[in-house]
Order: sequence, then structure tokens, then C-alpha cells
Amino acid sequence: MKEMGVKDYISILTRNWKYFTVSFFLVLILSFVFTLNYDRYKSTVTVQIQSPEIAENIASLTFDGAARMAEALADQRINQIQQRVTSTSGLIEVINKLNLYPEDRKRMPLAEVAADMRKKIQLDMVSTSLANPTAAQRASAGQLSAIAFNLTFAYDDPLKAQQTTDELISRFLDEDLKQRRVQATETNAFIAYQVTALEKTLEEQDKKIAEFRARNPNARPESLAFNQQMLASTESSLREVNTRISSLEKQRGDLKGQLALVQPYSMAVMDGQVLTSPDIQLKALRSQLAILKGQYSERHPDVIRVEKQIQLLQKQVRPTRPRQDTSKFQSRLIDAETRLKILEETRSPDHPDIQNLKGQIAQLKQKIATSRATSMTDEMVQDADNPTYLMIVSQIQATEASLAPLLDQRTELERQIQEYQRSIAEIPKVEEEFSALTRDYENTMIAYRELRARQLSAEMSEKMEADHKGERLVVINPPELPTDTSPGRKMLLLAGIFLATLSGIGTVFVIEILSSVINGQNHYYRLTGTLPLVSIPYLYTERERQNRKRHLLYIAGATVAFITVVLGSFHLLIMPLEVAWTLLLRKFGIY
Amino acid sequence: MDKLTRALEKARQKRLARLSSEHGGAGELLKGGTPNPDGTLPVDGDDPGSLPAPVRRSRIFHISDTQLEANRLISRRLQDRNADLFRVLRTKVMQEMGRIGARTLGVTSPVYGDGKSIIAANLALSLAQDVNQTVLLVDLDLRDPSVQRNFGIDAELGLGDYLKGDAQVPDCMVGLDIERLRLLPITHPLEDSSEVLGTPKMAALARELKNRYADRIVIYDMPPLLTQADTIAFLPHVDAVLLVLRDGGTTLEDFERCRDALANFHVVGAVINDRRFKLI
Repeated sequence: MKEMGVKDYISILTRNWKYFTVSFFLVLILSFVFTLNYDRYKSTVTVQIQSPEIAENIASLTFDGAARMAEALADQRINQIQQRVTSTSGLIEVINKLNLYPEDRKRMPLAEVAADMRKKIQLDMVSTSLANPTAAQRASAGQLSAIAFNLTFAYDDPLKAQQTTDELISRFLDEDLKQRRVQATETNAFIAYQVTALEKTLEEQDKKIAEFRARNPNARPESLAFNQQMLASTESSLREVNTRISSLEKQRGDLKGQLALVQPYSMAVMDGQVLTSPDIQLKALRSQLAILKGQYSERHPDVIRVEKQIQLLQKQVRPTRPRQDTSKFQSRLIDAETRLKILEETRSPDHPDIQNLKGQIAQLKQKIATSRATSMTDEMVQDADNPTYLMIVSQIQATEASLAPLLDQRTELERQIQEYQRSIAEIPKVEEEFSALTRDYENTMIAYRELRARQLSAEMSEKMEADHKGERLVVINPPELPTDTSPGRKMLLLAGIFLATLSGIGTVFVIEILSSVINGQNHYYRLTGTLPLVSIPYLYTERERQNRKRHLLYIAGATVAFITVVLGSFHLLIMPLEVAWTLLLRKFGIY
Repeated sequence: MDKLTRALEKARQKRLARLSSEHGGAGELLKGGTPNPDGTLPVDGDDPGSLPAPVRRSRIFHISDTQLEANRLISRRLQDRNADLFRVLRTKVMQEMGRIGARTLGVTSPVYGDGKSIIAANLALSLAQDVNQTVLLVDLDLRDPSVQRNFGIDAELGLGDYLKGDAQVPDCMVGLDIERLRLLPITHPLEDSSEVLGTPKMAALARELKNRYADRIVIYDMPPLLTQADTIAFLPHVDAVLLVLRDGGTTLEDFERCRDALANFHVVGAVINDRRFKLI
């Protein structure tokens, strides 16, 4: 009982019902009048932010991330366009075109009118539902993009509101198209420029690598294994050739040994003696001559015949040449070469001494060669006629003939081995240089490829823009002619009723707070802590009751009469009531 | 006028004729059917004979229910919620007075218009209904006497006459045809009354009323506490005080001032009058 209860509040309201009623109806009438005079019409257009007609992942295959970002930036872009469309100059154009705010323009600068107008343009983004998990994910990443937006304009004339909204949205779309096209072209040009620059770099690097390759034909890292293999196989070839050479030489030596045992000449019999060779024949003839000279004079025909025979044989038998010639040439050649080396270190190559020595060396080499060439035949008897001998000789010759290319081959193989070894040794150094070059090239290549893909996508998006196939804004819901004010009159009236009730209650409570009288026994209780003994109502007498009843009847009658008179005169003088009623209902959007 | 009324009227005239013949005074005949019958005959009061009254001029007035109702004195009704409220008040007041041994009760309010006279009269009527109580309602509101008006009587002598010294207390008392209720009215307003209540004569009256009629409950219909300066002067002569407040009319300031003024007296409680809504 000590606290104020619901009943106390109700009793406060009921005992101050007059204040409540006055305040309530005052505010209600005010709100009614306000509602009737309220004219603020909103016209809204809904624009869809359409995805490209060509699937995005085809349009920018390698460029997915950037594309998604671009999409996420759709909101931002729309806001940018909004800024541009609702710039003061843009709005002034619209104001002039549609003759908006004729009265404001008389008393305010146009820029201020435009600023006021800007406040009445509203842009709301419509985002995808978060029920979509992908969208939710992107929303949490702050990347959620709008799928549509609403552009709303409020004006006190429904038709003007619609026209203005229409005008604004068409400007909006134009601006968007323009911006996108410019952007695509610029992007494309920029990328093309970059691609050209990269292509140049690539070309240079390519050239460098080619040069390097030309410089190091065998030392390419990839030829290491090949070189090693080749080295191994060449070595084994060399071994084989050596084996064959040594076997041939052995064969030759054997043959030569056989040859030494075979008489070059066929056997000739003289005086019972078998004369095998001219030497022996010569010896025999000489001894015969000596015998004959002892027996006969020198003019004896036999002596002469023998002497002639000896002469002839002597012609046949060649004098044996000294065999040390070759070795002598060899030692001289070594000596000359040593001197040449010493001279070359101190003198210029054109020095006469050096020239002279080079000439000597060349002569010596030739001599050695000729002596070698002849050495073989020297050993053989030219006029041999012993078939066995000749056969062996021919065998030796065949052996030597097959030996000569093998020797050449050995020289060649040895040279190759040296070559391979050198290449293998060089490879690490070259490899380092080469890999550096390659790396640069490859990096450039990657960048180039990326850029190229980007260029493709930029070209495509430019093309898409040109063909109107890119992401663009499509009016889904064109601005309609607003039929009701915003907020609606019904809502306003409801709000008015609510406000009136509030104001009534407020008035009552303010009066209650301001009043300083005792109100009811609860109030008394709060003041004193005890209840009054009784609380007695006003004691009406019978006559008062009857008077009151009569009084109320009079008031009711008078009210009815008054209303009838007012409505009747309205009906007769201003407009028929049913028309007024319909108008009223329409105004509040009920009918 | 129906038969019953005529019969009643006849009976009353007979009784009055008998009474007037006893006293030999000027007995006025009643005009039948009028709501304000002025039976002004010297009558032997309802007092027990123990009191040797020198002059017995108490008159008995006939009070009709219609008369009472027209003046909002309804506490004698039986099937009436408001009368029940007064019976509740009666009980509570009697309990409280019995607890403190009080015989006299001053009914006052902060200002005029709070309805204290109606409350006092109704309380007196209600008390008189109780067979154990004899009640004397004394009008002390010299400036705006209302007892006579409320009961619709036209007494010759009143408190004013006593104060002027023209009459003795018993002479001023008025008897009614309501059992166990007597009135001490004021016949005419006394304009210069500011000091009257504080006079020794009033003190003597209070003493006399209290002592001589020891079995009676005396209810003083006092002037408003805050508008009449002498109300407080009389307060020491009453045993208990009943404060009447008007719902939505008594200001908090007045209420506080009354509480201050009554701080040293027995206040049996307060009555909220003119309650606007019954909720609790």
C-alpha cells in the first residue's frame, strides 16, 4: 500500500479525466489537421546490381581474387556515383529541369536548395541474405556486396517526386556506364603498356642467354651427364684401339721376325752352290774372281766376265744406310723446339730467330716423316723374288695399312678425351652463370604470363563494357507514382492518437505532480503512515441525482442537435457528407 | 395526503396539545405535511429526571427523513452504503475514544467547505442510533452555523444567547424526535466571533457539558482550524479531535499546518470526505 500501485495510477487518471480529455482532444485535433495537411511523397526505384552476363570466372579466369574484390567494391562504387549524381551542380540541373522547390528558390541560394534536396535523396543497399553461407562468410570478412539498392526521393508533390526519382536514376545509370567504360579502357591501356615493357625485358634476357649458349656450347649444365658418358665411352674406345694397335704391332713384329729368316731371293745354283742372295752371289763371284785372277791374266775372258758379273751384282746390292738418321733428326728437333720456346718467351713472334727456328723445325719434321716413311721399305729387299718373302712382306704391309688409321684414331680419341674432361671441369662455373641468367628469364616470364592473362581479362572486360555485358545496374522496379504520403496518413493518424494519449497522460501526471492536495486515502497513508478512519464519497441528495440526470440528458440532446446542425449545414452548404466521407477515407488511405 | 399521514398528524397534534396544556406555553400548531414542521413547545427533555433543571425550555422538533436526506444527513438509513460508512466511522471513533477515555469530540477541518458539519451531524445521528449512547451535537461555528440549517430546525435560543448571557445552557438545547440526540445550535451567525471560543464562558460551557451530562457524548461542530483563530483556543476543552479532509481539496500545506496545530491533542483520526473514486 505504501508504493504507488496500478490502481493509484488509474485513480490519478480518473480523477483528472478532464485534463486528460482536454489534452487528448487538443493533440488529436492537431495531429488530425497535421495529417490532412501533410504532403511528403516518396518515390522509390529499385536497381539491381547485375552480375556479368558472361560468367565471371570465365571472364577473369586467372584473376579471380581481383574480380571478387571488384565485386565487393560495388557498394563503394555506387556510393561514389551517388556522390557524383548528387553533387550540387548535378542537383541544380535536376532542379531547373523539373522546376522543383519553386518557393524555396525564391528565398534561398540555389546551392542551399540543392543541399536540402540532397538530404531527401536516400540510397539504401540491399544485401544478400546471410542465410547463404558464402555470403555470411564474406559478410564477416567485410566484403559482402550489395545485390541491389533503393533510391528514394521525397517531395511534396507525388508526380514531381516520381519524375525526380526517374531523372536521378537515369543520371545514376549514365554515370555508372561512363565510369565503367573509362575505367576499363584505362586499365587496358595501362596493362598494355606494362606488357610491352616486359616483352622488351624478355627479349633482352633471351638474347643474353643465347649469347651465353653460343659462348659455352658444350658446357651447358644439361650436357654434364652426356659429357661424362661420352668421356667414359671414348676412354673405352681408346682402350680398344690401343689393344688393337698393340696386337697389330705384335703381328708386325712377328712378321718381321719371319721375314728376317726368309731369303728374299729365290735360290740360284752356281758351281754347285746354292746362291740365295745377290750378296752371297757377289761373295761367291768375288772369291771366284780371286781364284780366276790367280789363274788367269786380267784379260782373261773369264776374269772379265766375272768382273762384269760382280759389277752388275754390285748394282743390285744396295749399300746399307745408317739407321741412326731418324734419331739424330729427333734430337735436333727437340733441341730446336726447346730453343723456340725460350725465344718465344722473350722475343716477339716476328723475330727472325724465331722464324728461322720455325723453318728449321718444319724441315726437321719433314725429314723425320720421310725417314719414317722410308724406314719400312729400307728393311725390305727391293728385288726380292722369294715368294715366301714376298708374301710376308705383303702381310707386313697389310698390317701396317690397318695400323695407320688406328693410330690416327687413337690420336683423335685422346684429343676428344681431353676435350670432354675440359668441358666437365668447366661445367660448375658455367652452370652458376647460366642458372642466374635462366632464373632472371624465368621470373620475367612468369610476370609476363600473369600480365598477359591480366591483359586478356582487361581486354575482355573492356569488350564486355562495350557490348554492355559487364556487371551493370538494371532498374527492376521503376519509380512509381506515390499514392500515399510517407509515412502514410493512416500511420500518422495512429501516431497522432498515440501521441494524444501520451500527452493526455503526461498532462495528468504533470498536474498531479504540480498539485499539492490530498488525493485519496493512499495518499493520506503515504503522508501519515495511517489510513483515514473512513473515506466518504460525496453525498448526493435525491434531487441532485435527478438534476444531474436531467442535466446529462440536456447536454446529450444539445450535442446531438449541434452535430446534426453542423453536419446538416456542411452537407447542404459545402459538400454532401458521403462525398466528404469518401474523400476523407481516401486521404487516409483506408478506401 | 394519504390516510396514514393524516393519522400520524392527528396523533401528533393530540400529543402536542397535551404537552402545551401541561406547560401552558405558546404551543404552535404544526402545519400538516410540510417538510419543515416547527413544533416549538416547551417540553420535558429526554434527560433523565436526575437533573434538576431550573427552567426546562427544551423543545422537541420533529425531523423527517426527507428533511434529513435533503441535507445529506443519511447515516440513519439502514440499507445504505454511505450510512454503513458512518457506522464504521462511529465504531472506530468510539473505540478510540473509549481507549483514551474521551467523552467529547471536536470535529474540525482545515478550511470551510470540507464538509465537517455534515460529517459531524451524520456521526451524531449514527451514534444516536446506538442504544447505548446519548449524543449532544454542539454547533461552535459561530460565523457559519450549520446545525440548525442541516437539521432544518428553527430554535429560539442557541449558543449565541448563552454567550450573551441571555440564556442558560439547558434552555438552549434542542430536543428532536430522534431518540438519544440533542442539539445545541446557534440561531444566528456571530460576525465578531474571533475571540468568543477562547472566553471563560466557553470554557465553562465545555466543563458543564462534560460534567453535567457525563453519560453523554458531546460532539462539537468546530469552526475550521485554519480560518478561525479561536478554534485552537477551544481545543484544550475537547477530549479528542476528528479531522475532516476533503479529497482533492485539502492542500498538503493546510494539512501539515493542521497536523502541527493538533500535535498536542488526541486526534482519533481523519475522515477523507468527498472521496471521488472508490477504488480501494
